[in-house]
Amino acid sequence: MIPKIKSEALPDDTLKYLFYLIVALVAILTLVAFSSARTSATMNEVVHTWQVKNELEKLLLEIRKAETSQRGYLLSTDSNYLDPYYAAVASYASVYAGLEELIGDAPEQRRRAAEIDKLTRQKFQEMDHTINMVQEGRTEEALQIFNTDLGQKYMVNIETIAGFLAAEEDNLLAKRTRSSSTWRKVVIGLIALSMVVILISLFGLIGKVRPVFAKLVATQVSLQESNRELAQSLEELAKINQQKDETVRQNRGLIERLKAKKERLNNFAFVASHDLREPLRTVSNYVRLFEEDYGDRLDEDAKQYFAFIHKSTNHMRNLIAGLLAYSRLGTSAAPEEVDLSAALQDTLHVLDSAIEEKGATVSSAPLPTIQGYRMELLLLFQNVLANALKFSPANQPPVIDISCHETEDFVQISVKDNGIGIHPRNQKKIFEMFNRLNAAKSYEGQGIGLAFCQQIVNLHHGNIWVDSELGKGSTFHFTLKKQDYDRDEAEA
Amino acid sequence: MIAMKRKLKRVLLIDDSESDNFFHSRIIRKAGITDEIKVVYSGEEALEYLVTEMVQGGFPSPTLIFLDINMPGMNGWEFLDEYDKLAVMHKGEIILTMLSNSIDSPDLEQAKVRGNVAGYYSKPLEEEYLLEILQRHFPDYLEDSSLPASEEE
Repeated sequence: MIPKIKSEALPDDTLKYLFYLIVALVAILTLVAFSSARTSATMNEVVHTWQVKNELEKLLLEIRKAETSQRGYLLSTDSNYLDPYYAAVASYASVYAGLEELIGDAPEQRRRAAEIDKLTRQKFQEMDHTINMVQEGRTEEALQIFNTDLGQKYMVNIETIAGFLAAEEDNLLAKRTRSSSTWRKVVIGLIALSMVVILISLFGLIGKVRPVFAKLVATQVSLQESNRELAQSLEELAKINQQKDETVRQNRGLIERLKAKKERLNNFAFVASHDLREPLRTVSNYVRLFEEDYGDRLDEDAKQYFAFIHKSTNHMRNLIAGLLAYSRLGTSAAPEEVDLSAALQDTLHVLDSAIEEKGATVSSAPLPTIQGYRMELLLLFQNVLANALKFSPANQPPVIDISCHETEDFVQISVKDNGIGIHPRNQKKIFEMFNRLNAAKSYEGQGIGLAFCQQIVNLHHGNIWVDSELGKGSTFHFTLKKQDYDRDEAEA
Repeated sequence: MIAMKRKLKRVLLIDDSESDNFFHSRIIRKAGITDEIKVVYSGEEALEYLVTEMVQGGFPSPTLIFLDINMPGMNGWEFLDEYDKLAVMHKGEIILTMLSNSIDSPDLEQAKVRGNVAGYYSKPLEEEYLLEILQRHFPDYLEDSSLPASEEE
């Protein structure tokens, strides 16, 4: 009723998809980090290029300022122009230092900057020279030098080199920007690829997980179902138990009633047999007195009648004694260990005279020791053996063989004789009380012996039966429980 | 007939059965062991008889009592309980013997543990029983011929 719940592992494919998913996510994160680092580097380079170009402009500006001031001084010889000239020269030096620092290690650019510096210094030398000439009063000579366009030539060269330098910076920037945009394309491509991988993985995962999930849901449903069934069967079980308890109670009641009934029956048998004795005794007592007092006045017929009365009262006394003993079976003592071989020997001893008289042969297999009622077991052997001796054929001595067969709980004893045998229709009857099959004349008895045996065997939770063929002997079998029947008795 | 040197003073029969009393009286009389047989039909009657002074003076103090167990009203055992409480002069030198309908083992066991019960016999009372009782408890009363051969040696 309860479904077997398998703990299903996720399929291998699912793990593969999960792996791809994670790899793609890691890739995206790495790429994003890389590209952002890249972008900030590119931004720095652009700024740097512009800074270099800016410094160059400033540099050229300072040179031109110096040139303009020098020209003004030469033409006017006004010393007011000298101050801006010297300021521009000083400014140039600091701007150049800044430019040199910005350019850094690029050797070509350094060389160009150095060239610019060299040309600028030559130009400044030439301008200093002309200013000195004016201050010494050689204005004409200074103007001649000024008019040679030498200063203009310097300036053009400086500007040309500065142009190269700026162009080279632009060039470098463009190159770097190009490589940066290539990188960006690659990164975007990779991110897109990772996205695709993620999508495929997710799709695959959902595909794989869905049946598992569906199965889980189904399992839960069936689990609930089986829980319900379980509760139901528990309820049924409780009901059955209740019924069983009821039956046990009824059975116990029945057993109690049976025990009470058995007790009453035994008691009845005892009281009846006990009380029957008294009137019987009175009858036989007074028949005796009658014979004593009037015997000499009785004829032969009367004496015969008295003989019949005596015989009957004796017979009845025996029957009553048997009934009394029967009602007392199993009440004399508690069960004890009984060695059946020893019990058999005791019995044979009791029957010694009968065995000798009939010339009987008795053989026996070894018998076990069981727990039982000693006196009753002796009586059982005595009755069965006495029967075997009693119903022997007229013309041959009795041969009695006792065999034994054991199971775990029971012992079966078989007593085989070569007697007159028992007709099949009588084989059950013989175990009933007061049942005699044979004419009193040929075989004497009260018909109690085998009823005794039946009762004793019952007492030991066993059975008794006979196999027999008329004229060919009988085998009486009886079983006895080896142990613990007193406990069964106590429970029953 | 049992050969006696002298007879027992008095024998008491306690039994509710008239036919048994009659039969037992006859056996005792025929055996000739006493001249006085007193018959009572219940335990109560027996107790009353034992404590009642006789016309000629003294208490009955029977030498031998036969007591039936099964009686309506006070049974044999109950009689014994009451008898134990009697004064010594009422008991006298008395041998109590139980008579029963059957040799039933529980009764026999109980009789054995009763200190004041000298014997236990099944009905009917026979002359053999009487002889056995006399031999065991009253050998002085018997002629030598009535004593068992073994005891003479």
